[in-house]
Amino acid sequence: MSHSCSFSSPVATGRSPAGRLQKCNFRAVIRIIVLLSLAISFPGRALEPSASASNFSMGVGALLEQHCHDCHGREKTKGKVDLTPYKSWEDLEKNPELIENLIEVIGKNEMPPEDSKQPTATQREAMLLGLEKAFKSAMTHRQSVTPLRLRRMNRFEYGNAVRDLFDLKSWVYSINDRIIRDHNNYFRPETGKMPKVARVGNRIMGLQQLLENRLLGVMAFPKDPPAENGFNNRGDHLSMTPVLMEAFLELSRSVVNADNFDKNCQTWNDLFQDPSKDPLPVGFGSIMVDNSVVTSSTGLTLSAWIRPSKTTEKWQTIVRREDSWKRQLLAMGGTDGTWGIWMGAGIGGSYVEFGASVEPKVLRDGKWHHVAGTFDGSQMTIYVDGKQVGAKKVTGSLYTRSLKPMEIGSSGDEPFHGDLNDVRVFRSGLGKPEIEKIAAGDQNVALKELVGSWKRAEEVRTERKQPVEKVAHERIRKFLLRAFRSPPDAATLRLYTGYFDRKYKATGDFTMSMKDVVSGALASPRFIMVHDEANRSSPNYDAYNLATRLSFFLWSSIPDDELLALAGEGKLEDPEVLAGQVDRMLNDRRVKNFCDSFAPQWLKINNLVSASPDFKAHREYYFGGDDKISYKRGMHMMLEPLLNFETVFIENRPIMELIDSDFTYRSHLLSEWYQGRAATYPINVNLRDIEFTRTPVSDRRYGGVITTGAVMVMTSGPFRSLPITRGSWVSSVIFNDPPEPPPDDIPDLKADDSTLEKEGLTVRQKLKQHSEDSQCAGCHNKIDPLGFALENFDLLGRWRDNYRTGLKVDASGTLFGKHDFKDVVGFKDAVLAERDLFAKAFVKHLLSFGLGREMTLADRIAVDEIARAGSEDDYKLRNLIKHTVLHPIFSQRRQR
Amino acid sequence: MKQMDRRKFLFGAGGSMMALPWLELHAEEPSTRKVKEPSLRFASFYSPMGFVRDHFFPGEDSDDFLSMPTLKPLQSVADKVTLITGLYRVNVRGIDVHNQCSSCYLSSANPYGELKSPYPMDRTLDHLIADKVSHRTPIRSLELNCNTFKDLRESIYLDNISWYGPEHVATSMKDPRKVYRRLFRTGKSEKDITDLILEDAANFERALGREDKDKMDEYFTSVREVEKQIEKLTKHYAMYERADMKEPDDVPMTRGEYIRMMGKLLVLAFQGDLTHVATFMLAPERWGTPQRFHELNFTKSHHGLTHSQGRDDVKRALVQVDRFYVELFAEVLEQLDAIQEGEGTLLDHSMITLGSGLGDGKDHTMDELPIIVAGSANGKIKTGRVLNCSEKTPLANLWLSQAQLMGTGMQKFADSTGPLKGLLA
Repeated sequence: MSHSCSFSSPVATGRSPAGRLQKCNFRAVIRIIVLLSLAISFPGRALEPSASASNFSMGVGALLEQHCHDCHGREKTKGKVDLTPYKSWEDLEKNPELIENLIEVIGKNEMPPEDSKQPTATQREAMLLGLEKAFKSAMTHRQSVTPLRLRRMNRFEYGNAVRDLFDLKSWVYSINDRIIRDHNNYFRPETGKMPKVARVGNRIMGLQQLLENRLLGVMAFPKDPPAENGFNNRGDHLSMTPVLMEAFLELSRSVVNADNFDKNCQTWNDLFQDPSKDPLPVGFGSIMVDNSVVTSSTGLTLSAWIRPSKTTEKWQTIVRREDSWKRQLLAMGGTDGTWGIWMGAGIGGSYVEFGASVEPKVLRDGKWHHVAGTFDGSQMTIYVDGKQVGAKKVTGSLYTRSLKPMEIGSSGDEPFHGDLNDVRVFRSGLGKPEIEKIAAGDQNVALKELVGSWKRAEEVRTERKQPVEKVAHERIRKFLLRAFRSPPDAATLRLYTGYFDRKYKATGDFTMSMKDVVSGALASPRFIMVHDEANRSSPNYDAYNLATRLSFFLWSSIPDDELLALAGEGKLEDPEVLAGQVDRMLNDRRVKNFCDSFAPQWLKINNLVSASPDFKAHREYYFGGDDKISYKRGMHMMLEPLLNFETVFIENRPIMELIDSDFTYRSHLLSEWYQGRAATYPINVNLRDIEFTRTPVSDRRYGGVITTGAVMVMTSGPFRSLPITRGSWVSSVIFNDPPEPPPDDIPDLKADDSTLEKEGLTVRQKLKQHSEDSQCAGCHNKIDPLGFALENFDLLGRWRDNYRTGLKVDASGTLFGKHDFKDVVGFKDAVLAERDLFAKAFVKHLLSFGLGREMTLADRIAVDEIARAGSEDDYKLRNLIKHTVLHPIFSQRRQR
Repeated sequence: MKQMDRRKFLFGAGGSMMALPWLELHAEEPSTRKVKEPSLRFASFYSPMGFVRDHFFPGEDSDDFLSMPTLKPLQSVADKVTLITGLYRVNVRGIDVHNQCSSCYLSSANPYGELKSPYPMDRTLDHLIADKVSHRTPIRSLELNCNTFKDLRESIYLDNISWYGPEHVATSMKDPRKVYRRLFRTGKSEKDITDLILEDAANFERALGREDKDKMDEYFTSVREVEKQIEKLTKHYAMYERADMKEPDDVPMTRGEYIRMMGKLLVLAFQGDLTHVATFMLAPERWGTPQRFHELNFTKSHHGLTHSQGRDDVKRALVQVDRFYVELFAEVLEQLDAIQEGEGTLLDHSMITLGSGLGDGKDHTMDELPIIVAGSANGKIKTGRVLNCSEKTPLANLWLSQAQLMGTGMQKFADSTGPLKGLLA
């Protein structure tokens, strides 16, 4: 009776709502590898499933009859499940939903119920093995892969896509979807290493985080809600409505017409600039150089290729970081009678500048020239085309702590006239042989010393001599390729070029006409809609769709030129090429979008925003200020699991370290907090960039994500921890098995502190009393142990051995009826013992996010296969992502 | 002239040149030869998790519902409201109850049919009505929502009562500034851009598979709707002046001030004949997040309160919340009733419902749903009384009656068994 909940799937009762199906159908239980080895040890005979009725009735059928039929068909029909009609594998294979449910309940020891006669472990595993095979066989009769459907971008993706499309220096709009604000450029996936210190802010709970460079007057549309136990990129939820269309139309205009759009748009010259006029000198871009890398530097080398169109006395910036006396630069121009190449840097506490004389007409001959400036700790040297043209003795240490970007080709009123390319910054003073090599065109010089570089996207500009319309049409073609993620067909191209021609004819304003075209494209379904949107007349249609699917998975944005080029050459679907691209993309900073989008949603971390421990009873949760204004410690807590996730990601660690790791990231406040000290901070404490330091963890109660303060607080109420909520969190997040909705008439638990104190019970005892006789026990026997395992953490995330009543906390329990544990460390061991189960659950989250759709019964096989591939290299996170992309379910072609 | 009162109230110092929108709009419809009737306005207010019953329902033999503590605020419009008892909806077992409450409330979709979404959903009443009456107004319908939680931890189903169809939510508006702009924006034509994207979209759709067509339908409908709205607003404001109201600023508002502001925008939309159909969510269903009720001086989770209402102190707080929402609803009614329109008031020419998808927030029952209907729908509904329906009368019967009153000509609505008996005068 008490177990009817877990067995009564709506499927078995004949209804099959999609949303419910998901909850039941993926509870992957079986450790395939173990079972495969079992299959070998039980060769053939009755237990080997085959499609024959006698085989069935002698093996699994007999076991079902012996252990299940009494309650499910013969005497009763509990949970409306009748197993008696299934007399052969064929019968069973007609109902894969039922098979899946059987696997689920038998695998997790939920059935037969505790008080009934149990099959032996061998019998149980044999049943599972047979059922798994039957499931696969059953699914071959079905459509194996759910086709992807068109969906619109969500607002996080739209912002990223617009930013990447125009290579904006600013954000499009300021939204709190992105929780972590990175203030020291800590996120560098290409290094494979998280730095020891991350200076970060919390956008959703913090203050002072709004001040960021963004397009003026551009308003985001409403945030898209996440699916239940899912993500906010789910196609079935992302529909289009008049209210949203109004917002999209408004955005398509307000983006390109924002006051600061032009100066933030780094593709301005390639798109909007009137070809009959001089290109804007802005738009060369910038180089971000990271502090933690440069601090170990011994000097500086600035290297660039230049092709000036004008040489006057006035300085022209080649590359420059402006930061008072600490500035660093390489420039061309005249000062104090010397015209030539200048280098400047902050050395020994002051700004040092040195210029070497060069003949202007040598540089102005229309050819490319290489220039470089080096400082090796004792001397500044300037080179032109590999030859030393001047040097100066300088002693003192180079200032290296500036975090500002190095601007290319412009600073203040010092724009560079002409072309620049391949600008490189090295953290040491390179010697003459190395500079000679660079000047000779060698791309691979001193790469270990390289800390930043910039390359021109496009080579020589030849369009000036062509008629304006022709230039415009060519630019529109290129733009539409990027915006629509596949080459526009003739009709589409004609539509947009025709639109330009009409506008240009009417106004004579090239830039405005182009902006109108761009506005149209931004509101087109070819831009807004993703999945399966590529131009169908293109022979590489599938490859273009794959490029988009991939970039929305890993970058939450549109594909870049390289992906599009590979798709266009028909190479992207080649597994080796694809694997290489995944590696490249996982090393690209844009992958921060994946971490910003997937991790918080997977962890349901937004629940922490609304966690409110009672202000009077738990005043210590609030810090700074007074009773009217104060901050929640959750602001710090929230960042810990997110940084841990990013570490596992960047360092390609096994996902098991999300459960149990020997490191964590903590702020001073958090470290104190876990040690029971509620450090206070003044009201004007710096909340913008909080220093989180990598902290070794030897105490296994901590480490990973589950036992972080963030998770503990957000699964607690105002007055006490909520074990059921915690169990439900573990079940949904860690095992991807959200509990069934509770029945409608839940009696009040009356378990507030005062009642419990009066009755002298722990929450656990009270709950047990409460659910013993009721129908609730079925589910709660499953969920509650997962929550009680964490009971040693109080509602504020701090360790406790006893409740305030003095009663001892009991955190013992059993996971899936198999793994007994005494405390939270034992619980972690139990979860790790079920690592394959956790990995499958994680892959299922990953795949649902990657495909932007709900997982169905049919996906179970793909998830198993991806997880199995991942198990071979220890479930390392980046590898797991790569296995996901390489699996046919992700790279699927359209079914025609 | 009485009409002038209305003009003054809303549009400030107007001019005698201006006629009443409803007279004119109705004159465009000569098909019915009856005396011109004012256009009927439809609005549905949703309050989550039911109301504390013994403070809401007066008991079987009593008609004195306006003495009930929660309903007292409605005394100011006493003779224009009706309490309906006995309505229910089928609670589909095994799927989350709160999600059903809100997402299935206005469609009452067949609970036994094949599901196209996790919950039984369909095109909701407001949109079925708008399909019929939206030609009368520049804006098809308004979906207002007073959910200010920024955590967005809960599902789309809990946050929306208005749906174009299964899994196709009618995006609701939560920012008063955006509502204001929608209502009062001078219609500058964007036709050249919408023409461009419609043509592009048509080419695009041609190459798509059948399974993607419905997503494109959403797109086309949306673009055309926006286009139509801009054109109609342009025409509208060429004839009538805009309301004398400043754009709301972003000064922080209390919970009450915020809902009041949204209510005022609804009143203006109805008064100016900008739309005749609206939904209004006072708060989202369930949502575990504590809500700050400035006016009540506490921050509590409404949902949490409903579950512990067995405790006296909790129940007291919950009743305060219930009454708070009814007060704000009553204020909207009062404003509508203060606006003269022809021979009656705007409220007389409206049908405004306040209800909830749950009968009882603690036991999660869907029988005895709390439903108040305000306005007589041009004298057709008998008001100022309690209408006791027999037990388990489908909520869909009321929706069917309302759909018929709004002129849809529908004969059946979801699981209705007929129009609601005894509703009409």
